[in-house]
Amino acid sequence: MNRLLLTFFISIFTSALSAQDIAASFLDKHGKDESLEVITIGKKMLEMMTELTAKDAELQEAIKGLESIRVVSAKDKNCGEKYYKTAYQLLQKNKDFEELLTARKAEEDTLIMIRENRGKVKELVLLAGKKEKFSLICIVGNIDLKTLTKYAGKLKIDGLDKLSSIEE
Amino acid sequence: MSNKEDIRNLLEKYWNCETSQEEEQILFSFFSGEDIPGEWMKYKPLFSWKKRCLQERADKKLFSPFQKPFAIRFYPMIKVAASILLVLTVGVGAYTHYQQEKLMDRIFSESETYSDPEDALRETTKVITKVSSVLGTEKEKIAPEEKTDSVKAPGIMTE
Repeated sequence: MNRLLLTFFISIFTSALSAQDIAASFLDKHGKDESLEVITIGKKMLEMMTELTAKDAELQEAIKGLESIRVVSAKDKNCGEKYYKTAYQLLQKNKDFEELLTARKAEEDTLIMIRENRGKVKELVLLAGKKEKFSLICIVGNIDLKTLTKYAGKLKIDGLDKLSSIEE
Repeated sequence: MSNKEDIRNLLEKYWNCETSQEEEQILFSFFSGEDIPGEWMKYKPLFSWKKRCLQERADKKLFSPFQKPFAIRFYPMIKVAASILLVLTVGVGAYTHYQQEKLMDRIFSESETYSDPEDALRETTKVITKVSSVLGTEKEKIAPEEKTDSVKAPGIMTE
């Protein structure tokens, strides 16, 4: 009975620990560094944006269901690599996350990892950086990857429109 | 003779508890000497004992500061030190608590960065654009970098 209770409390404790998002885990290590910029957009602010995005249906759709967005980026170029390594290791260690894609370019490497719960994407982390760059984007909520990809399509169309207007 | 008469008078006063300290000292001195009349020899032990008692009391008063416990002797200084320590502890505690709250805020996103939804929307758009462009690019698996770079997402945060 005692062993059962102990196991129960340990599981609650560890689940409580893992409940914090990746950005929070990262800031656990580097929270005191002044060279990091942290931007937090919470649920309340996201809800207030619904009216503002009324004219952009794709964006509104992409934001719908999100609970929070956190962006951690390096102000100091010299620390980019260090922060990238820390964030990368945190993501690799976390068994809840699986890699969605990796993109390597000359200026930066990009890694996207997602955490699913009952078939739904609950957390998406984008880690981008190289030697002198670092940014960690953490999106929590009910994330629809299809909608996000569709928004990319809309951007491409907008891009082409701009291109054609320049040529004219 | 007058000396003996004086002593007699002093004794009378002593039994009536009317003697002053100086007068008692005279009696103590007289009875600690050798020249005591026979009729008063019986009082010699009494005044010797009295004298001894007073001497011990005086010694105690004289030496007691050095026998008092440390805490009582330095009580005023301890009070001052304790007050200063209390103020410092409260101050340091408040400062540490404030710093810790600030850190916790940063870690657990208790506070919004933006108060204006327009600003928040601008940042959100950047984020969604960044994520979407990476997802979109990889989905199509457009290999040539020129094609990817030709549809640049609006400026992203890490410059």
